[in-house]
Amino acid sequence: MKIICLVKFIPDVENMQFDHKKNVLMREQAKLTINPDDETAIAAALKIKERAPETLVEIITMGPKVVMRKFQDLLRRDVDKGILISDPLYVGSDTYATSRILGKYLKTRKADYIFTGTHSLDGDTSHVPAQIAEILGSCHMNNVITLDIDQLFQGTALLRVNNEGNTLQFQMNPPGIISFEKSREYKMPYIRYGDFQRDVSDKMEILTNQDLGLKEEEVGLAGSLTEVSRTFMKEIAQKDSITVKNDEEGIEAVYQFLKEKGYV
Amino acid sequence: METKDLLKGLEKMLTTEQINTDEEDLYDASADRYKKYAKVRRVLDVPKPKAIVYPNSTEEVSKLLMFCNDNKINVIPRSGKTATEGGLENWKEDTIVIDAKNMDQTVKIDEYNMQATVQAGVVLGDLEEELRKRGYTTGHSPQSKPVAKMGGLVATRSIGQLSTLYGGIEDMVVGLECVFPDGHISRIKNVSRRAGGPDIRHIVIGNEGSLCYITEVTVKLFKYFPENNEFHGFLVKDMDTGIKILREVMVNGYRPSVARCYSEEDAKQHFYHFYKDHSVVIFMAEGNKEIAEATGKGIEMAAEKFKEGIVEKVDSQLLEEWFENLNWSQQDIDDEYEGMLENDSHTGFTTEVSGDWETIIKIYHNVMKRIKEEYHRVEDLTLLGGHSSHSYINGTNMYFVYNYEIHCAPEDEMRVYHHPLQRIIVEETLKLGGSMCHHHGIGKFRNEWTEEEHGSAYYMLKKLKESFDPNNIMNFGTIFPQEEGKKYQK
Amino acid sequence: MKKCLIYVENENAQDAVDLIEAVDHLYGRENAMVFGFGCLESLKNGEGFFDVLIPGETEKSLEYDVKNITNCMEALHQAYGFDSILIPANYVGRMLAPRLSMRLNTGLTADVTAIESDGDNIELIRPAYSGKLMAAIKNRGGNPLMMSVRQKVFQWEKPRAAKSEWRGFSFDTIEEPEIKFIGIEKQEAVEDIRESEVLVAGGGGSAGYFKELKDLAKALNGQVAASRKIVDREIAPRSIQVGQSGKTISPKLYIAIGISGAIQHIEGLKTPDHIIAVNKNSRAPICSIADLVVVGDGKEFIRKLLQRIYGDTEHTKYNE
Repeated sequence: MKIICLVKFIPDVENMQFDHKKNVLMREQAKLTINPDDETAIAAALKIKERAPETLVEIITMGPKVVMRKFQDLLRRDVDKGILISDPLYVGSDTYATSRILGKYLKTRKADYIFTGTHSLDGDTSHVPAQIAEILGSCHMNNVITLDIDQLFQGTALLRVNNEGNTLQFQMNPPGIISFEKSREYKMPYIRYGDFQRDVSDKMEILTNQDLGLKEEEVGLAGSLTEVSRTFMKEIAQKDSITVKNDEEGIEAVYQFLKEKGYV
Repeated sequence: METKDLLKGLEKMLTTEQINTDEEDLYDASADRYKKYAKVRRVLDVPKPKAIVYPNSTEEVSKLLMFCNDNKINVIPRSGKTATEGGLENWKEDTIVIDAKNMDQTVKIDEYNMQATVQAGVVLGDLEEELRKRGYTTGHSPQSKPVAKMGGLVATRSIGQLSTLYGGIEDMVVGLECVFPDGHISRIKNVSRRAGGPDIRHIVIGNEGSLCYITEVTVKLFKYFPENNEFHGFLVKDMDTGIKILREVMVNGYRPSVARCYSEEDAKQHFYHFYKDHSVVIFMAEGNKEIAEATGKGIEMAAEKFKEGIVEKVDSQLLEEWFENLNWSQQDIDDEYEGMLENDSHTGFTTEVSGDWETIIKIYHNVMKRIKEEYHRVEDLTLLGGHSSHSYINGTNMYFVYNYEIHCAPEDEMRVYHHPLQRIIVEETLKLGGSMCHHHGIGKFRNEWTEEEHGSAYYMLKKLKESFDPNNIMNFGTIFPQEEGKKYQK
Repeated sequence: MKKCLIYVENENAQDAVDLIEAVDHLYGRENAMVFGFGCLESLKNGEGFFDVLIPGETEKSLEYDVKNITNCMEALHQAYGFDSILIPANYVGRMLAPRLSMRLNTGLTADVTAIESDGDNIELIRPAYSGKLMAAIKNRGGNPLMMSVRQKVFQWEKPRAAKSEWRGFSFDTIEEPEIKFIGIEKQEAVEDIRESEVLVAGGGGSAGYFKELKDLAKALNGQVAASRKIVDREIAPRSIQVGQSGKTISPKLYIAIGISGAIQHIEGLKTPDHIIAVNKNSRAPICSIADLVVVGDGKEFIRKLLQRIYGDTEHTKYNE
């Protein structure tokens, strides 16, 4: 079986600092980290490979060369091959252009399944997996919590999916795109101490637009169908705390607070 | 030695209730809080002891030590189990743990002569509670007070939160009783002071179980005046200012019981509700009314001298509330255990050092700089800070604190996180002539630097070990480096 | 007159009706002809709100069949040439919208929270970086303008107007579905506090009345959590302990009752949207990070607040 995992490296959104003086989100200083949902996808693929070692697991990421170090850490697990798609022409691509780029490459690879994450912490559009599915003509499912590994080896994917708190079951036949939600079910194995610096360059390949052959007007800002015209901060006020007493006035203030924010 | 022969030998000296070979207890006894995470995750790399024994008397301890000495059995002396530096960790197959659990008598509380005598297995918190009822205190208040026992507290040269007034354990011990590997029982009598040759108590205080087994201790009593406690606190611009204020108070002869300075990050975890991104300086003045007040005044005067460095005064009430919740309890320890089972992180490690006034702040900055530049997992650190918490007329300590997310297998945790950080701190400290262990002891995981720590004086320590423990049965690996033990240190 | 198509999902037709408010922001309701597409049963809820309703009945249920819904909506767009297509950003919508936008080669903006439009220049506002940043997006593709919108972002509160026009459409590009919907799993009430959006947590101060917390939690559709002190005293199980050594939670609302706010507890609170602290001590550390601090007894607070929420007469239990 062959599984391709798409993975994205994002700035560490959770711990991003806000510069109150300049009124900007300090994105540049934020360290790069693997998108949690994508990590789950890879962990799921590795769990399948643990059961059937002949399974081929390939990971693909698109981004600047600086993601190399973290990408190689993924290769130090049991992943068979890693492709880094990187080209300055691709900078500024929106999800549409990104999907076209990845789709172009994926069309040349035959995989039983493509695993991805559902949400990314930075953009969180969930566009790319569905758009790639459209390009490849495949079916696609979001918010997957678990898949039945036994059934997978029998030739079909039995998926359990999270739909706003309810768990739905679906059956999908390959080829298809399965988008995972961050789950405790699939944990990325640790790299052991001795392996931290292992050379994995033989597993890696870097592809540029030379290799993929897209036209300039199809990629980057030129190939994007949406553009960010501006960004601004939501009013993240320093928390101005209100203090009330346990009396009628105070309780009313609490009630109004809850009502305003939609809790009652 | 064959396990069954070892156990037979023990049975000749003790009753069956005094010998514990329960597998879980033995697993628990193979390491202390140093490898807490690996222990909880069941991936300890060290051997289990063969038995834990609970002698009822000093005579039984003597018999046990003679037995072990004759049969080359490693002995781990144990009382409260709160060790944090591997002092209780086992590196030998043939080991027994001698636990002071049954030697828990309070022998005498002598109010007139201001002395209390207790056996090694008495919990400090219990002694303290009894004393407080009578209006006294030991003045010894380590964070482990509710759980730690007197034998271990003396063996490790422990220090408490109020040491700046009361001193460390070495200032509190009057006399003691201990047993040596050849079975010899030494009783050091209780006198207020003497010049009877060198002070032999200091062979015992701080020996970390590498020379003898402590069975009884006598400590001084102090009168207790909680009603006079005064708290003073300030937000300061930086650590440098904070240390200067501490020094000012000390060199002018004041003895607050608590004198602390927290760096910003460290302050955040204790005082997030008022630290406002600043370093925090805290004092507590204690004692009889006149002294406490005078001390308070001295503190205010020191603050006044450095007022350009002071951002704001802190409300005393907030400090008092914080101080009340500082100590560990058995429940804290149990909760931490459960937490480590569930989560991939735990409250971090510490490495604490000492130096003189001038040097300590240099050490602080050098360490911070070097960690940020050199430490390969700096992005996993969720906290990196330090605080000074024990001051003297001629210097202070620096307690480095670091928490981190554990992004590695549990068995690799120490070598990925704590060891490299500890190395940087120890190296920077020794470089500038400070001490690599203000009060945590050397344990087993700083023994590679023991000789550097003592320099030419190491000769004196070595000779003590050779004389008192020629067969090297006492707590193998503690203080004195052992080639055989290196594999457990990696 | 602008033409807009709104996808009406099976699960909640109201979400689709609410998108008419978005159309109003885009062009002004009176300048737009709003079409609704979905299954017949759902479309019935749109009667009087949409101008045109086109049911998508086929032999096979389209419910989760994103590929075929895409085929149908593509056919509709080819027939009508919509200026914009709006899709509720729920489970199916989030798979459908990107697929359809790629099919139609047009730009798509996800999770729109606000619209700035003068009719011709349209900016769609959406959050990025876990909500820390807002981005204004412009569509560079031609028609249609596409967007997905989360529930309750817009609300259409006007009453039903004239009747809707029902039109048939022959969908002949339906393929054999590749995904089969098997069913919904029965929920075992496994209450993991990490999944809850609202948590009512009790600390040491609430020990005497801890069990009353669940009434407040219920009223707010949340769950009960506990600090370590409560768990130590075996008043609550460890599974609901919040803190460094317990669970790390990130609810929208955290009500901390009788919790002092020791750092070990606070470490377990990762970016809750709102914190209400109820404590007798107004200087308890937790108050410094709360949006709203109620100084007083927690038991009284619960009682009074529940009275206010439910109204005095209905819950006499709280009228002590």
